[in-house]
Amino acid sequence: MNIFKALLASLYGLLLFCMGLNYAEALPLFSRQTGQNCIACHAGGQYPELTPYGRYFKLTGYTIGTRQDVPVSIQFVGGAATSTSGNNGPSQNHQSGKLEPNYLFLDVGGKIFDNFGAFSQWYYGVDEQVSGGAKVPNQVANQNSFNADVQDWRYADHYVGDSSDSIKDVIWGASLNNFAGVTDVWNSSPMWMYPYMGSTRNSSTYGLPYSSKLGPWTIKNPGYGAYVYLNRNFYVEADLYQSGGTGAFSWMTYPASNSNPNSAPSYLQGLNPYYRLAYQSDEHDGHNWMLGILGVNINQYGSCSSIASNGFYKGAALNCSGPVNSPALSAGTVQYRDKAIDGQYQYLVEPHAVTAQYRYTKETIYDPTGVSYSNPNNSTNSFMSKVSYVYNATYGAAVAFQNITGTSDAHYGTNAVSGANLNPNSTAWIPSIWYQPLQNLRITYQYTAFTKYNGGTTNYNGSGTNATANNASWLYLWLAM
Amino acid sequence: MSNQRTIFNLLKALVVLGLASLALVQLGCTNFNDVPPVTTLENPARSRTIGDYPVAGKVLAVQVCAACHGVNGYSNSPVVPNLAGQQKDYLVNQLQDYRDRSRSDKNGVLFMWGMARNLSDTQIQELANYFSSLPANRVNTKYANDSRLARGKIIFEKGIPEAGVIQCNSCHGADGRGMATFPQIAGQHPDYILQQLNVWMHPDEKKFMEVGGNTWAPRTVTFARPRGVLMLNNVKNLSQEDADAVAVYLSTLQ
Repeated sequence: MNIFKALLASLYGLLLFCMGLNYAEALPLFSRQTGQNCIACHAGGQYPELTPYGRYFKLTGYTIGTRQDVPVSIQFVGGAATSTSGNNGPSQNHQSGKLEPNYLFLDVGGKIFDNFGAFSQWYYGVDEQVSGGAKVPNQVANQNSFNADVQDWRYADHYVGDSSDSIKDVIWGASLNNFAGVTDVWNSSPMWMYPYMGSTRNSSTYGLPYSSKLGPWTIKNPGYGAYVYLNRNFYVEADLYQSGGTGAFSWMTYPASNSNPNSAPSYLQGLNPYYRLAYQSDEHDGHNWMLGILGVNINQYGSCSSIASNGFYKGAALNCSGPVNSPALSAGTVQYRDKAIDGQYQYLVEPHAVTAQYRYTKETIYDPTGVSYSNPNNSTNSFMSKVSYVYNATYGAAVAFQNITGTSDAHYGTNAVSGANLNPNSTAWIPSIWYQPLQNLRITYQYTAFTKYNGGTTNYNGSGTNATANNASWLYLWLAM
Repeated sequence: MSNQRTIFNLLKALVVLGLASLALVQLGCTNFNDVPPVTTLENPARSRTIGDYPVAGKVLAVQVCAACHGVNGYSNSPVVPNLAGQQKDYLVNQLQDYRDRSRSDKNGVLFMWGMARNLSDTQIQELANYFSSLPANRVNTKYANDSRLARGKIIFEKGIPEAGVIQCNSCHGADGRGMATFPQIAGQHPDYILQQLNVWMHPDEKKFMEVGGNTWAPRTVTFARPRGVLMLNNVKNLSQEDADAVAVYLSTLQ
């Protein structure tokens, strides 16, 4: 393990050395590799949404183009988020509309060999409210941290038959990655759906306060998967995720570790399957669409946490004698079973780009030993959707509708007066407008409006908090170099 | 079970070591672009490499170009030109012009400069061979009853003498199939034809800010297709309605 860490350290030392030598080349990696503009792969330039060609680029393992001597790019996200006084209120700081940096991303990888490439993203979060996603926070304080973000190290091959073959086109590959759904090429999938960016200062900017496990950034663990894409129509993928806290792939979950009090790993029991099936239509007159199903089974241990229940996080206190953030193995697991249907539509004819996505997820949660929930059985249904329009890859507008319903449980908090368990039922609308004067520079104003929060519109928690108290606006700049 | 576990862990360790060494090699400061393929790691028969080592044009056509232009030379997107049966000399010229950046219509800059920048002369010839030899046999019935067809046919066959617009078929052939360096325009997507007519109809107005590919300092690109200067005089007085009509008509030609 120490050898591996030393290797990793020297690797990044070398990388930084190269960047220092040739900083002018440290620009968006894939674009330099293909020589093409961002809009070749991103629908209307609205990264990270993928065009048909962008999907092909990812499915063939990021291998189109010329290998880069310095395979590095950086991105910066910063802006001004408003404060909220609802559930997101406690433990936030540095808000109230001040201009502040949020993220600095480091991207490495791209084409490595003909059949091997990588999308390896790392980020430095500035005063980040939570680590690893806003859904089940394991820390109270905002903090700066360097994190492994999206990892997708991919082997891929592409066979093209001639007219006499019944199978004319097969892409197949394998991926080493670190989030369920990160390998997906459609933007209705958990990891790649709007809103694409949220403020480190206010998790309301990401939307709903609760998501299913088949959601963004919920399980950060090493996964191994394989996929086949047949005749550019039928897509099948399966991955297995397992705990990575101390294993050979622990770099993919960095900085989560047993010994980091601010960042607990997700401790999974055994191998946890993720599957994905999709039908992608051919493109006709600029239109294309996809329909798919996907799902994940996760068996997750709790961790020994000293902050299990406070004003910010309403989880049940764990009975665990180990050090903070060590796995609570004897307490058993929470078993999440998620099934979803999703779909995407795109119309891409210059100067217009219209895109729409939806995903509907049914989740059952079985927690017989009370690791995180007060009921042994819970369930949620969630619906996520978005429509957007971009003109000339310059002016864009989008609106998302997100809704989640589920059973009441102490996991979601309790009413301050009656003591009754709250439910996750929440509804959010997320409109945004953006201006992209250059393809690598986007200025966005994004607003999150809650019409329901924890099952109520007014005084949902007995403390007089209204759903709208969680509303947030965020004006931010996204620069990729 | 424990044996399986050990094997699994061993496999994982091997994968990590492999990835780490690959990454080390890749992230180093060495210039790889001049080395021949490492046969055990590269895959010349199905490569999407442009410039790292010489890959056969036919391989690139199928693995890279076909992603947008179609393996049969018919593109799915209306803004991407069909290349099936296109004139070989024309294709060679255009790829060369993308490579040396003298053809600078907007999509040429955004999409094609990068694709062509590291092509060798041999690859350009092979790519042109591939697409020019594909059969142009698709019948477009979408505009069969379009009211603009009649006007388009007149412009194609007779031009608009009073506006100085010469008939298209004088250079592009009676059937629109083109001739050597004059491109085939029959059966082309109307959106693509319009994009290109606009380059010549408004040559001075078409500037745009651009970053991407190799150039990340914002710059202004002016539309240009130097080999198409003949078109400049032909269509500068073409109205937008007439351009639409001729584009629709051309798409129905077989």
